[in-house]
Amino acid sequence: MITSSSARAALSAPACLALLGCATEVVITPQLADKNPPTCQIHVPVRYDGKPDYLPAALVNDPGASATMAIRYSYEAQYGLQELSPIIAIVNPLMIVGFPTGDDNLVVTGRVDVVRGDATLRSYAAAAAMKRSSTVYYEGETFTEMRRRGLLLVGNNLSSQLCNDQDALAALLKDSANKN
Amino acid sequence: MRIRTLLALAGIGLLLGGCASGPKFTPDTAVPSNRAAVYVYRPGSLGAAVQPHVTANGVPLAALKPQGYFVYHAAPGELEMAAHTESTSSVTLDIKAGETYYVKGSIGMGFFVGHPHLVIVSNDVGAKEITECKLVEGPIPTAEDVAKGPAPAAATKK
Repeated sequence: MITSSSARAALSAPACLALLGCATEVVITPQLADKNPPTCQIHVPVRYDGKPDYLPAALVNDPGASATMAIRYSYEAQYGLQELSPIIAIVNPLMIVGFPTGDDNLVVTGRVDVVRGDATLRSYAAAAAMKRSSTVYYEGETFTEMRRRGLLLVGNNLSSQLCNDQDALAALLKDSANKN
Repeated sequence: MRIRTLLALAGIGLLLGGCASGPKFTPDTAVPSNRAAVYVYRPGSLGAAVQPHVTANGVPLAALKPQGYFVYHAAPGELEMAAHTESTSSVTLDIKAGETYYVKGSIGMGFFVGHPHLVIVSNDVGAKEITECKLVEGPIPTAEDVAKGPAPAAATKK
């Protein structure tokens, strides 16, 4: 039985294919050189109060792992960015030129700080800029879907950065343990 | 000629009848300290006949009426605001207590029905644009109501 919703779906699919450009454009920075980055687990006290899904997978909250050091994770989602957030310049100033701006874009930035007391010892950041395409037949991804995708991409990128740098992080944690 | 005039007047009446009719915008001064003010507003009249309900985490709040606004006192945490016709528009905010947020709505072209568009705008832009809007009257669910989730679909009687 053909329903109105199935008729609309049938009309929208070929229209989308015909028009192409329905996919969301995504730019991520920093771009990782390794297409298969290493995975790891870093046990450390983590300061983060958001959804567990968005925490970089490499970070495992272990309050007993260090008495003085912790890792702080924060993220931000900005809609319809007309000017690029300063954090993108921290991540990679060369990428600013390629980042889409405008009403249909969303920029998600994530930042990992290794902290001891009030001092930040080391920082890692990543950003995902997404621009959606829509037609009268198909609106594309919602901003909610884009935000979730951006947060997961940023989290994965940060996990890879942390794992690429795990020797240095281990040394920092070891140094902190010795100072206790 | 008379029929055309009558039809035109009827059309204008329909359009105006669908617009928000409450008092003009004034900032909400009764936001509890453990909540944030989320203003949802629709400054234009394009697609006036299309007035989808705006939902918060799936719970309907109020209709997105042309030149109308309403304010929702949101609890801290993730909040998904959505509107649905033949397509769905949805934005997610990271709510912090004591803050103010503006979600701007509009209706765009659709195949059968106009498509809703919700966007989060900066406080500067929102505070300026909302001044031309009127309050959409009617009770707005509280954060506690939204936390209970959407009401289950009524069972059909046999």
